[in-house]
Amino acid sequence: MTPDEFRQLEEKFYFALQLNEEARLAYLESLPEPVSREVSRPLRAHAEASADVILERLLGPWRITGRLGSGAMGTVYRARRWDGAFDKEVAVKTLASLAAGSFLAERLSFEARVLASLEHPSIARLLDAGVAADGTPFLVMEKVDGVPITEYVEQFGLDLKARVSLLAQAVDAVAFAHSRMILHRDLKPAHLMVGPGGQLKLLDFGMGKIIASEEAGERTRYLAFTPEYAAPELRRGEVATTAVDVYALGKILFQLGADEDDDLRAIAAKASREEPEERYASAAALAADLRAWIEGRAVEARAGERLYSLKKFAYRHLWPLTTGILLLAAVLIGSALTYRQYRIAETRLSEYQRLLRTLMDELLVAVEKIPGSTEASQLLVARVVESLESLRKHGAGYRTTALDVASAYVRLAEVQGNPYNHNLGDTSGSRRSYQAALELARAQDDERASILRGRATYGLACLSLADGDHRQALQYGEEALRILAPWAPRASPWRPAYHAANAASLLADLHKRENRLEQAERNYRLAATYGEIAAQEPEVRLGIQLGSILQIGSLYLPSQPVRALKEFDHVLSRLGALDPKTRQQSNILRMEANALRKRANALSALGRQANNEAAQAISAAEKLLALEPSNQQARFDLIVALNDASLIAARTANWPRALELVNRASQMLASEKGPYYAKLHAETELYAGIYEAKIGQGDRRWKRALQRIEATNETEEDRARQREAREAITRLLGKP
Amino acid sequence: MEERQGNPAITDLLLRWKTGDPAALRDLLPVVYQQLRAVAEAYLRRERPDHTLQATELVHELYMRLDKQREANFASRKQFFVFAARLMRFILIDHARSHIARGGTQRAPLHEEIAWINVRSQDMMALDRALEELEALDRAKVELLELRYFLGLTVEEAAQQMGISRATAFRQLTFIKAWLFERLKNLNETRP
Repeated sequence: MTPDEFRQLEEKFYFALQLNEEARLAYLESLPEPVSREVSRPLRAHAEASADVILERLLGPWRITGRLGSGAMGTVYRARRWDGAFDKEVAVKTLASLAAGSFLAERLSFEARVLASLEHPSIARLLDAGVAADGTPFLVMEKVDGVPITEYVEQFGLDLKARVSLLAQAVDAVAFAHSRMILHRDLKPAHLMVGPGGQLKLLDFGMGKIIASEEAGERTRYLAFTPEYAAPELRRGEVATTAVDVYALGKILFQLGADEDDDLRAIAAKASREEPEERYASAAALAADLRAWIEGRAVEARAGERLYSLKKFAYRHLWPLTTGILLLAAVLIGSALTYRQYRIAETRLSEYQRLLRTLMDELLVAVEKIPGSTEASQLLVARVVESLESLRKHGAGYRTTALDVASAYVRLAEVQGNPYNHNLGDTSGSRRSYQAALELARAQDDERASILRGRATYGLACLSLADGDHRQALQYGEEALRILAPWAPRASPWRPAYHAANAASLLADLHKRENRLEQAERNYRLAATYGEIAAQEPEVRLGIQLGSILQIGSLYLPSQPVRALKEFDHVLSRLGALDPKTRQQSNILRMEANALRKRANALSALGRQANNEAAQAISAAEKLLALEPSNQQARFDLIVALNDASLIAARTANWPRALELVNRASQMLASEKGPYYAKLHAETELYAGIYEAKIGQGDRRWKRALQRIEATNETEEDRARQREAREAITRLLGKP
Repeated sequence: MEERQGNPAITDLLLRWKTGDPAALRDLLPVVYQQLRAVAEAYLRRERPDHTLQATELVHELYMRLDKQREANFASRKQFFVFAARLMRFILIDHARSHIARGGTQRAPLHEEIAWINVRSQDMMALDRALEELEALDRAKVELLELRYFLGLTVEEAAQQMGISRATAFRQLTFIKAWLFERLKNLNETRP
């Protein structure tokens, strides 16, 4: 051996010495021969030499009486108190490799005080800690007679249920420790010992922390664990949270045979997901699911599995669009990203932060953009509500939390029932969520709070509109614009402008409805202007620009169909120029379906043949609905497309075609709930009846529909509906 | 560094001794005597009563050897300590060798951290050979080991003499001990 080789051997020795057993073995295996053998020899010698020396010594009041084995960081001995103050035999663990640490004694006594407080029947007690005369730190622990859980279940041939019950004891103990803000950090079968009576004891609680905080050097910090059971974030050197222990328990569950049962496999998989936020939120939640499994009840993990795979699906499909979506998500979730940086381990707060992060995740934003995703959003909503409640209860007092919750409420409200969004039709839930957001954001006047208030107010305007309360919608819309306008005329950040554009466009719709064309056009132009300001992000820009053109076109459809047609053609040619992937996004598909429908209407208004165009519009709407069968918006789009096509057919006196189409629309409306849809249904029934009369099938249907229409006489709109109905009957059937 | 931390008198005495002033060694020894004596006592405390080498004898022998070596060129306090430690090692190994020659069964007094070497006196010869081998590979390691285990300095003191940190000294000692243990154990295993 040359001095150089010797120096290299020495360096490898030091490196290997600070690794735990498994990591050390892996390291030695990675070395070529004979280097591996040369390094492993002094390592083995070191373990034996230090063990032999220590046997003759006293460790504080403890007298070593034998050797139990060599662990990762030192040797474990059996010992008794020489002064007889404590009768039982104990286990003494020396942490030989830590002896060089300078503040070890104080640190150790602090940790020991914390750990000594951990009294649980399934956790081996820490009795004492100290530093021996030569500087070797040692820990005195309750001595556990038993074998690792994996060996125990083999030895006694336990069935799956018994194995899971055994592990559940450990999970309970871990949950108990977590409630005391103590992590284990190095859970593995060797630390789950089962005694002859089946009593399980967890060993070495908190050891990982003592080791990790005491060892010098970056490398050590993330190597002081067992790779097989170490969560990915631990391997990356991130701060450990309770999710680390949940991960290890999931891995152990797999080892105990989780693969033998689908539900159990789902539990183990959920506990040991790569992403910490996808795991059980706590060890207690894992314990609850294990008990559910033991008692044959439905396990939470199975429900989550579907959501998880949907999310996986979402991420996979969104990959090509990642930049845009992440930008959008980053803006929408606001402080969720700052929270990510503030993760404080081992505090209850971090649990809530984790929940917050999950619910505010890019996901809700990302999922919405995928065809067929409304279901996924619905699954997310349950989780969101749960997390919000917990945050509101416990989050008080933290500076940013109120606005974070407000922001989450806005997102929730939009999934629940914003009619201008893909939604689940839960309008009252949506309204409550918007109002909760307003309440939370009321106290503050800064940009973030203002934008949240603006968005929530705009959302309430949308809901009022959907309810047919136009006066209230107008009020909310103007209020939203008033809140957002001061922040809107800036290109960066574009959010206020984006929301202001939405609010302006809503006001324009309202004015248009009341036939105030001038005010409507002014608001559409305002919307387009804000849209241009907001146009930092290609997707958003496209949506707002094309949406505005579509709306201005619609505005002029009755009075200037030529101009309107030009606008619709413009929108369709812009959509046609998009790349196929963007074109398949549901918001883009929807725009295309609407543009086709309006183009057919414009052609028809010009007295031209438009049946083919109307059919195109229907199939576009059907395509969207087929992708999202439970999307209320898509259903409504198809109803409108069918209705418009029916009117177009009627204009050219194609009564059978008109009847067929309006029948389909009427059927769809019949299955809808609520007064708004009931009124629409009566209307389609009226036209269906008129067309039936036209082809000689009698007058019964339209007469019954007319009765229904005449029965409601509450709002100005109801009366307008009645006038229109009578006009249609006069016009088409020549009857008064 | 050593000069600033240490006793300037020692360096001065060493310089005088080096230039051939025999009185200097007489003056020098009391300065280091307390320490050497403590070392010797630490060695011998663990010994059985029949051990022939007494603490005072040990120091006397050290004195004699130092006197013979007065031509040696000490550049610093460190060199003196290294030299003294080496002397101590030779004393102990010579002692062990003479015992083997006489067929004795006494154990050589060794520092408790390398006390596993004391199983047989032959081990002392093996230790000597191993240290010679180690010296060819890494001289500083042997010096550190001698300061710590033959001269009985604490890890801090030995580290200070070697101009390294306590943690480094601790690490290096761990390595040398392991390396030595492995060497000597191998030797044992090859014996019938």
